[in-house]
Amino acid sequence: MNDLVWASMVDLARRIKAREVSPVEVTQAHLDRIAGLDGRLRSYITVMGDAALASARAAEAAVMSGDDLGPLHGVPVALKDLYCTKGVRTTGGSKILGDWLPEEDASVVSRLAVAGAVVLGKLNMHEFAYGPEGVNPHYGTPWNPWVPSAHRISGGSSSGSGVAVAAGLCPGALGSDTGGSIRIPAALCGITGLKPTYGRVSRAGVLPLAWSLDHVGPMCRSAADCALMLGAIAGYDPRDPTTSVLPTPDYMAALTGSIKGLRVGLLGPLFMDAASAEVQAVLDQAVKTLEGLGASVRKVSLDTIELAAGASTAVVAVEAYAYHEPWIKKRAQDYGADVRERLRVGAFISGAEYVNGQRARALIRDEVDRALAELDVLVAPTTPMAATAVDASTAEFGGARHPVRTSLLRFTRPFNCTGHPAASVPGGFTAEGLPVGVQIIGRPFDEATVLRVADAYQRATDWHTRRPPVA
Amino acid sequence: MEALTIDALRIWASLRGLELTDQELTSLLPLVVAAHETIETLDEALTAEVEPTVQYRIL
Repeated sequence: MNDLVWASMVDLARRIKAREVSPVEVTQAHLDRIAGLDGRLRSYITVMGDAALASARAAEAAVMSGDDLGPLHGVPVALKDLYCTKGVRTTGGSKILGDWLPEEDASVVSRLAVAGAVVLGKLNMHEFAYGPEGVNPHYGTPWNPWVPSAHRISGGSSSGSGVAVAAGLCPGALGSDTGGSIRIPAALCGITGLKPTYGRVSRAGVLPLAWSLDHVGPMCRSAADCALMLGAIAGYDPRDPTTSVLPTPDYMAALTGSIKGLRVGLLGPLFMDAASAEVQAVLDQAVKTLEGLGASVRKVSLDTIELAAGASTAVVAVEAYAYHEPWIKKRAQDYGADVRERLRVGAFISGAEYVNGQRARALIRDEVDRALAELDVLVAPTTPMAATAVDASTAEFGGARHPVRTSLLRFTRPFNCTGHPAASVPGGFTAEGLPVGVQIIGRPFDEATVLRVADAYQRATDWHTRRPPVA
Repeated sequence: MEALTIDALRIWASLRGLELTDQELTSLLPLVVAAHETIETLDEALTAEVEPTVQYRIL
């Protein structure tokens, strides 16, 4: 059974199609592991055991009858608990929506079903996705599986997704990313996560944090699995007017293993210079690996990145407040303390400040576009430090103490402001054994190149194959 | 700009229909001040010709 919970999605899809393994066996293996470990890890809010097994049995029957099979046929997945699932509670990690049963699926959930995926359940998260630590006062804070003996954050807001994928409780999950919420938990949990270009994947039926910054994307153990999952969910959706009509490329075909001649920009000032020494060392090694694969790497500076904090603060605060205003007025005590305070701040940001945030985004986007006119991808640390203790509000690195929350967001939220695609891949470990992420940023709608670089890197390294010390 | 005070925040909250206790206002004030200070860092970069971004790239 153990090999089934650590198999890649690509491998599971192939073995199921070849009738080497049954979707029921695969699903049951994951459900057994969830039952054995998740009481402590707390990565799931709702386990859909019966529905998953019914879906797996139907998938098995389809295999045996020789039906046409989708790319994820019989492969288990799990969903951050802000994706609407018809008749299955969708809490947003909140008490407020603790019993909410949506009347229809999110578009991406429907697309996963069409692709043949089996949904194992709904994953824990920072309440309403409003926090990069991934803590949750209502359903328990997920436990970073890399440190069994002490409670470390797993990063958020898609904390349950990060933990479940890292610990073998599902091979792939959907996260969402407004300031780094796919890439931060991917980095802190030692997995691979992709925030696609804004407009590449539908947000219809996904609880919003901030509409103009929210992105939907896959979290898996490898870039190849992210490519497989992205292919199943990407593309125009009439339910989401912000989705692009651009055709969706074959992301699996883009994984050639070759990046020879690729031009890579290493983000130096405000990124490398602002990271801990251990994170810098991981990035230095990653750059050497990329150079060894034939890429040319040069240092790049993006001055407008300094505007990202102000832009993101103005936009997230106001958009989140607009969505939550009725509840924050009538049910304030039902929010966790941290999210309640963050939401209330939005009531005191003016219209002019909001628009100035949106104006600053244009400046950042234009500078990133200019850099990518001469380069194929940018690389940077995903976070400046590894996972901190759950109760720590500051972290020490670079000879100073820094606030955990803003530090976690620092390197990721610029690319929510700009909408560029960005992935995080495992790049190594700290001396304490905590994972460190390498971020790869690409041109708008060029997820294929981001995934090609990530996959080539993973063919040359084994960081993404390491397993956390959970039973 | 004048420093934001608890009294000013109380009035502002009331205008927005938010009922906050003194304890809640006290706890909220530094967060609101920090948010304004962070957003003010944009002022120098925003010249008159900079328009708000449009994320939608429907091509």
